[in-house]
Amino acid sequence: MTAAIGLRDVTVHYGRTEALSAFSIDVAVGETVALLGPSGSGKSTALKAVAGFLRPSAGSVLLAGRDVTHAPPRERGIGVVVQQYALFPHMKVKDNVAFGLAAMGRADRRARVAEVLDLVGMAAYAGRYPRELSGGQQQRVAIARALAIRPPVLLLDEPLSALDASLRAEMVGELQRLKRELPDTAVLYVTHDQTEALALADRIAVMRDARLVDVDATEELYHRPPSAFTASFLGAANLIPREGGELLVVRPHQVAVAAAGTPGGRAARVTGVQWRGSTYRVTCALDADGTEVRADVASLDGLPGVGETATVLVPTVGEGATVVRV
Amino acid sequence: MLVWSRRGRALLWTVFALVFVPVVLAPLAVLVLAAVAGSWNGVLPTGYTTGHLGDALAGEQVASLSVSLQTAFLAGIGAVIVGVWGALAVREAPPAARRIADAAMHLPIAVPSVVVGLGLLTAFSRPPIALNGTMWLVVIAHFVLVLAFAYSTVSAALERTDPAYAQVAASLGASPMRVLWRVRVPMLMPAVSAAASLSLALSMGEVGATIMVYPASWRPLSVTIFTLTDRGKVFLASAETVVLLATTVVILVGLGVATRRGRR
Ligand SMILES: Nc1ncnc2c1ncn2[C@@H]1O[C@H](COP(=O)(O)OP(=O)(O)O)[C@@H](O)[C@H]1O
Ligand SMILES: [Mg+2]
Repeated sequence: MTAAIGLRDVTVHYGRTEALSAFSIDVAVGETVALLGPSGSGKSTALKAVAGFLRPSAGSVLLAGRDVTHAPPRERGIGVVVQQYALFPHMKVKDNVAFGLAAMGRADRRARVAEVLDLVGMAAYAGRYPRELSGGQQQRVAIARALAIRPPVLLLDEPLSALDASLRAEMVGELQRLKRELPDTAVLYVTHDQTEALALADRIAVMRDARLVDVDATEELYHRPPSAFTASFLGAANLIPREGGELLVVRPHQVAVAAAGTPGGRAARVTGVQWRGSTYRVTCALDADGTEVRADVASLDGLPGVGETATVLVPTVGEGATVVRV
Repeated sequence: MLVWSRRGRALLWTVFALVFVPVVLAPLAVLVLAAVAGSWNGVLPTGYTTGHLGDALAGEQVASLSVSLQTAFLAGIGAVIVGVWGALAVREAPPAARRIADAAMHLPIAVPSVVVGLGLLTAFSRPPIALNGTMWLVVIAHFVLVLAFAYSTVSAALERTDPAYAQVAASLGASPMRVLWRVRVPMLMPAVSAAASLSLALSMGEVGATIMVYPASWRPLSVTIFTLTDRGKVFLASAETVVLLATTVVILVGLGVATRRGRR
């Protein structure tokens, strides 16, 4: 089946800066792919290339198999939600949502506006201006406006980054529900937040310095990260050097800390303890090479304090750890 | 209020009063007093009269005010339209062209108004375009002088506008024309209103270029005031000034109210 979105070796320059370097990815019909990476890694640039907001200097953009590399945004029929929402400030919510429906008859348009506002739970706010809404409400309206045109492709650029933490968790749930209600919509979801990517994406593409680092099914990428960068970015894994130029990948919850001299472990010194509510994060420096190892433990009972010597117990490859090359 | 301590605030008010009172308020007060003064030989006028204000609102003087208003509206509307268009066009241009066009649009700010007046006079006083002796030379001079201010007000606002609005509008299927009229221009309305106010206020008070190009049949109030003062008719000139000021303030307030209504 033809992919809903296809990027083929897309390269983008801003002046002399290469913001995207021969980037390729496919998003299937109904699939959600997250572009995950640190700030400045080229995620928004990739999304803008799909939307047609900028011109690639090389490569091609395909939508449902059609080459749209040089087509203007209005001919692409894509729903776009940008980071700061960009709701038109001089239009009421309903007029914002109706903006893309100019070709429809009046009655159809009103019905469609009501339908999508209902979908995002904003029907009661149709007559308000954007400035009269909270950040979360503006975000829902921006999504409704993008979905109104029934786009086969939806692009979301850090849609939750402007919201506070509790609202963000709630909106992740909302987006999961929306996804179930729109089973045929391909979604490209840009974020620097791994929890959003893990919760929402079928596949994750990890980016760094304008390049694709790894792309794979979400669980596969989390449990068997192919590279050190992906391992540490996705799940904050510890990377412990092994012989042969390899790194042992161990998640903090897989690591245990015990009193100094416990057999089967590695000698270390505790350098910090952070209470995180449900767990404590204990940071240790290995005596052997100073490598920092983070462990999430349920209780501090019987554990050495900060500055004291300790033993760090790390699982082996057979027990759940994986290995990557440096 | 950014200054919180009581002493800080007191200091701020003192500085404000020391600058504002002698520089702005005192000359204005003297003007208003002179406008209603019967005779003025001591510190304060010795007698008061509404005669000057009456004269200022009669016959020839009202015609002069009307000339000022028509000139300001024509030049202001022209400057706002061209300024908005220029700002939008410059924004779309490639970087090199953009810098040159931006500098060119700002040029009249750097050129003294007398030079603008003289330039227009020499340029348009013989065929193919002979405009001397017509109102159009005055209107054109004002247009040239206020355009740079209108342009720079609008282009500063445009610079602050996130391009995402126009991009999202385009991705929703809107043609460039629809994006312009439904999204970009409405979002610029506050700046357009500010540009209009600025143009109007500048034009109402313009003397330097006007005095070089005005014909007898088209004499703006600012020039009338200048010539009255020159002939020693200070009280009538003051009364005219008060009328000019009041008219300008009323129009600016009206524009401000209309803009705020429009935004609701
Ligand atoms: N309009 C622009 N002009 C110049 N450089 C830009 C522009 N937008 C982005 N960049 C640069 O391109 C790179 C990638 O940016 P971006 O795609 O926005 O990153 P991300 O969305 O992953 O944070 C960054 O180095 C950024 O500084
Ligand atoms: Mg970004």
